[in-house]
Amino acid sequence: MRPSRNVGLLLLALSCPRLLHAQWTQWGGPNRNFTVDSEVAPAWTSGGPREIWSRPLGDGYSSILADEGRLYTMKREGHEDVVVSLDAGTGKTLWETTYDSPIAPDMDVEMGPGPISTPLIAGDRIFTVSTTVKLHCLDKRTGRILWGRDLMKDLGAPHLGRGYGASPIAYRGLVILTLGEPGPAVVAFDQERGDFAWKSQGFRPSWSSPILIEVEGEPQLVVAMGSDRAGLDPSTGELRWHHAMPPSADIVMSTPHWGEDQILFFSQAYGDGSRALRLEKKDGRFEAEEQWYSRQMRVMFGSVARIGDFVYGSSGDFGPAFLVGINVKTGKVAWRKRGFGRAHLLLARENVVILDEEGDLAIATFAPEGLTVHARASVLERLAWTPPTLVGKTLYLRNRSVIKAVDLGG
Amino acid sequence: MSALLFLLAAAAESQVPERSEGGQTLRVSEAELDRGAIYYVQPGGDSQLVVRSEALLQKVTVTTSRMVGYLVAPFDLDEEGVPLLYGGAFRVPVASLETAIEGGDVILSGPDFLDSARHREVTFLVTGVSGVRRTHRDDESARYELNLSGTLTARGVAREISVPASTTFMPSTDRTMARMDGDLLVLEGGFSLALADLGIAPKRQLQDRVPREVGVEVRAILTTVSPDKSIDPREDPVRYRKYLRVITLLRDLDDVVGGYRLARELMTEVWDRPEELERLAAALASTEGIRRRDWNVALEASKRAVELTREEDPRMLSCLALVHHEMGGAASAVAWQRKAVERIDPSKAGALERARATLAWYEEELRRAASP
Repeated sequence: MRPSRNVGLLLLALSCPRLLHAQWTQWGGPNRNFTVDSEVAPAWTSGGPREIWSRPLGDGYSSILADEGRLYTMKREGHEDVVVSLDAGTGKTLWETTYDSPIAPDMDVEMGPGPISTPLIAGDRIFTVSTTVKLHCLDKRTGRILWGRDLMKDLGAPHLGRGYGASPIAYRGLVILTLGEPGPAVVAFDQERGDFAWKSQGFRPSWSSPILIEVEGEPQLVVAMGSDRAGLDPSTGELRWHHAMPPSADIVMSTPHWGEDQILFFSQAYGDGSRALRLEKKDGRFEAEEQWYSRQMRVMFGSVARIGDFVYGSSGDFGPAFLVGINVKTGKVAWRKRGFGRAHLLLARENVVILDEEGDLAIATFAPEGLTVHARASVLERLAWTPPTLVGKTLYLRNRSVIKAVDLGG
Repeated sequence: MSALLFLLAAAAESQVPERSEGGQTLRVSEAELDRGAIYYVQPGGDSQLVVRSEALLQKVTVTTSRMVGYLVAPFDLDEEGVPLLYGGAFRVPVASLETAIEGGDVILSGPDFLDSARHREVTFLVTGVSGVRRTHRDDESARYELNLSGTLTARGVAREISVPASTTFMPSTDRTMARMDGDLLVLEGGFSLALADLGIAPKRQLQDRVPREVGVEVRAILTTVSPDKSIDPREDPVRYRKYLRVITLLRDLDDVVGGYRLARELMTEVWDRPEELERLAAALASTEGIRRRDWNVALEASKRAVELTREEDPRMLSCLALVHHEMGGAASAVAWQRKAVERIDPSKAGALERARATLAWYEEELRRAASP
């Protein structure tokens, strides 16, 4: 007699303690694409989701990591960055580590002093990058600083005026960061001791976080920097392909999205739009061929969701924001819908969690025919520019003053 | 006949949307918001409307930069089978029209001309577009010539008119962002208007100074960013719109009673927020175009901002000095500006230099006031 599926899962969970706690150890979640295999209820019994806990946090836009029952994020206090670890169940502080990170005289921090970048967990370590591009490695259990590097000083990394904003990524034993001119475009350090591993290219900087993809069996690091889009070998930094975009695509914040059909989706606001590149290997070389360009979808900073042949995202910069569905193969807009501010989308199986900058949270389904909002509530005060983190049915959110956990189990 | 004209006017005016909450644009309907991209007129800056009145004994050029309104264009201009514009509406406050001749503004807004006491705005409702022809297209702009049909309503009289115009669409680029944020649309057009068609019949003594027809030129820059919206994320949008409303009432519509009532209400709301008190006070004291000023609100607000910041913030101190200066209190202006100069961080050379120059100006004013 075969054991039931539930018993099997329980045995599997008991034998692998880490599976008891779903992980969100980097920008964008498990696969860096804001997609998780979690079931959220499409409706709430009361006016909004049940609040599990809420507490003051402090300034900053860093998103929230979750790992083994703990949360990690960053905030700002005076001239210091504060890396903080919280109990995921209660929100209580487990440890805080501060380091000096004064705002440079030539920075413009009217949008806030940051930190903007989201930390990265790799093994028992957590990596953080400050607004002024100081990279630190901490012991994730204690918060003890293991090593640090000042990348403005050491490598000429730019602070982009408003502060460094991309989030680091791990590959094997490396931690990889995008920097940009006048420093190198991409750099990698050994996770263990912070030794310099490689540097590559000379692209202009951006706030867009890199992603790791696999093209025809080969891992590649995809970066969107200035008006350059490129794929690199994450072990060496060697250029695999490069696609130059027009100068209008120079200010890019949103994260690229990779599809199984080998289509890379990029979007930027400020006068540009969205583009799809198809990656192919021809005669042993990788090529990126632009499939289409459309000004009808201009994602400023939000995360997008891809469902089937469609990418859905929040389009708009200074003007009105629309939720837009666009066919990733043709670039044709399927629909656009008003009603939300600039928003992050998080795909949880068939449902999409929407969090807009006004602090409105919604559960919706997206289809080529249109958008159906099942539940909506105000959960944060504006400005909620930080994407939410979903672990199981618990959604962690923050704005520039509070952090909270809400139950999306219905 | 006159009854019919009145009914026509009432119908046309009722279709022109009311001003928005902040007053710097019009309320766009849900249907229009869903239908296309909204391009909002950006009031302020260049003259948007020029009326040329050329009579035998007098030439007058009437201008305003306080026109508000919007046009609705397709989301995708290249989409086949859609019109270039779906609609639009404009309002021009009569109180904002400037003749640049002595007494001219009063005559223009008086009962014989635009009668602002009964009809405080001239409106235009777009009802159709025809003869669309694309005359230019490159990566950064597309220009179309067209005829814009609509209903012009002034002093309660509605007239159907057709305006030869051009629209130049300029998607946001580095070039356009240097001018203003958002995708831009430049509207240019002109037409002649017989004053008799609006029921204007100048009195005998003005007949040689007012022509039968005036020429009207429109040149407005519209953008997809609503002027009621601040792109500063620190801004509370509700209070920002209320602040705009105050300025709209006082400057654009010359509504002293409503404007200062709202200003006082806003001051109470922001009583513990020095930055917002300072902005309100500075705007009430120095915004150009406010014709009648009640100094009490500006003075109270700026004093409170100084009090909240314990006389330590040079910006608040400078604002209080400005209010005193505008009120004619030269000695107080000098005293408060001197404190502002003393509080400025010496490393901020530019700010210090500007504050000192202002102080020197106030001191000069004080000397002039003291001299016999």
